[in-house]
Amino acid sequence: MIRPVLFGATSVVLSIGLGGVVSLALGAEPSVSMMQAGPKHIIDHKGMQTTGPMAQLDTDGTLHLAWGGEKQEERGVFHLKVPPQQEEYPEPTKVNPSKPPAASLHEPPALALGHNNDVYLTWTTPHPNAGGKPFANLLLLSRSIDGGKTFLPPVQVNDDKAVTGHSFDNLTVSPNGSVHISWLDAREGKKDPATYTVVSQDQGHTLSPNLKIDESSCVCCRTHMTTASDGTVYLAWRKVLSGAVRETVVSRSTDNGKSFSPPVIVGHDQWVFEGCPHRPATMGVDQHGRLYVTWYTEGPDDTPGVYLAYSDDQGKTFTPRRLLNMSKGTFPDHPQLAVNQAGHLLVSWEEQSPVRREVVFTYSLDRGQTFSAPSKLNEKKAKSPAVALNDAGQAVIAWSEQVVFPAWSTVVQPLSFPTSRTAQLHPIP
Amino acid sequence: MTPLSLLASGFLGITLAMGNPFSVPSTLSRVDISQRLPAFQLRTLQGTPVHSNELAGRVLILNFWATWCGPCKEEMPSLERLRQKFPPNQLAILAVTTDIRPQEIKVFWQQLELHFDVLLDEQEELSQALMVRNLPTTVIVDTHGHLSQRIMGPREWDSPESVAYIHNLLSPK
Repeated sequence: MIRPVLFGATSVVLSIGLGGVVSLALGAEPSVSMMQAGPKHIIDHKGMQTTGPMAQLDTDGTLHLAWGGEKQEERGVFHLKVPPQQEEYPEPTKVNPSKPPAASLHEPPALALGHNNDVYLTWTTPHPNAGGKPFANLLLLSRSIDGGKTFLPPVQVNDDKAVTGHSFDNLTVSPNGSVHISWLDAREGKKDPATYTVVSQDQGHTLSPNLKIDESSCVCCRTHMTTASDGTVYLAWRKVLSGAVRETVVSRSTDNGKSFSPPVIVGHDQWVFEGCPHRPATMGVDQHGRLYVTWYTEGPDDTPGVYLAYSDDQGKTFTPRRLLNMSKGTFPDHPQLAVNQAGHLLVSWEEQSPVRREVVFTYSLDRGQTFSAPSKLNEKKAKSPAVALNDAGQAVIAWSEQVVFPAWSTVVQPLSFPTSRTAQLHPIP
Repeated sequence: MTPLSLLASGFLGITLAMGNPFSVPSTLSRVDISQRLPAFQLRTLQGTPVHSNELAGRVLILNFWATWCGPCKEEMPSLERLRQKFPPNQLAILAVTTDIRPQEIKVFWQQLELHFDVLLDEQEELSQALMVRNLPTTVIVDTHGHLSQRIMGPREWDSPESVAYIHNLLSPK
């Protein structure tokens, strides 16, 4: 079912077609030859319709993937664990029991790794009392405390009785092992939902009472969470401001999720839009506490862009935003960011035109000062990239691709960032 | 028109000024109103194939939406009311989605008593050809198959101004 695509050797120097989509360097360009690419793997979903993937890497390079899938009456959440250097991918594990089913394929489950190889996933299920509200759902947490071999029965995250939406979720595990979950919640029945969080301090067995963080959240842009090594928890969402202005905002918690600061606007995009962008911000923190944020916005002139900004004061202020894409004849979409302790950044996004849909990536070895020229990854129509990067410099980009039309497969591209010693031997210009 | 020509014209970023019925705030961009609608063939929720050729001679409203999009669902009743104001040989409304949840959509359609068809854009080809990137996005096509308007965000589709706009497309002055 799952087969590797070998490019002749087990590891090759990355020279992915730079002419594919965009080819302009952003500032001084790191040496592409310092990035190593392993063989691509293609996951054939056997006729199952799937979401895009989510990806995480353990410190030892073990890959964890998750996705949602639907085939006939079966709707499931799937988890796949691949040990380092394993060429043949094993079969995925179905996370959810037959009841309750997963709700929707519009976004993948959120995935986070905890201590002792714990695996956590959040996903939604149709509300059991939906009645006349066919899209109402509950947010659930599934967890594995045996390294992903089995998953315990899911725990309901939202603690209200409202028959409405509880989704656009994300989660992260802080250094002390606490599991933090965020989502958009329409329980108050307002036009725009609120952003909520909970925290678990016992491996997801029990959850704190739901904590409302902010009102007037963009109705269908997924939340995102990340944690710093000092335990600071960051939460990002897209906020609706007066005049239907949509801004990516970040809030932080320095008390392990008991409270969060007022939100801070990251990019001051001034994007006026009354509908559904359906695109989240993503974040990461390096060992010095620098918080990086990437997001999609359009701004007053409706020009789509993928941006990066960072903060060196725990999200109190942000640098001016920086455009990462250099699109010509395409528009960029769905950026995803991964950051490791060394301040390496990996960013992947889509580039779309009426006839093409590509997945590209760029990376930075110097804490976001310079980036490589964006490089194309796919061969056929592709979408929905996910990125993961660990402190050893191992990285993965996974995405959906129509390898054999019309089915969508999941394609996995392993990458290796240079070690710090290599980086010293090849100083960045 | 080829998809590429749509792309090329689209990224000239034609931004229509105020003074049209769909403005405030208006984000009408990246559609060349002189270009033709790309040909398509999609299936309805009931499985009936719909080819764009069959729609010629009518004003066509392609409303791109998803089940998770609250503003999309909010504007649906006004699209139904707009549909009722015109005979089917003058106006066709099609709700296009890449969010393939047939059972839930059927329930939703029955609840709201919507009587225009849902097209399932399973391969996202029509959405991509028209560069739909936010929802709801509504593309209005004139009786000659030319793109007339592209509206991002929800609207009151049965407002007097909207109705007048459709009338004007049917009988241009």
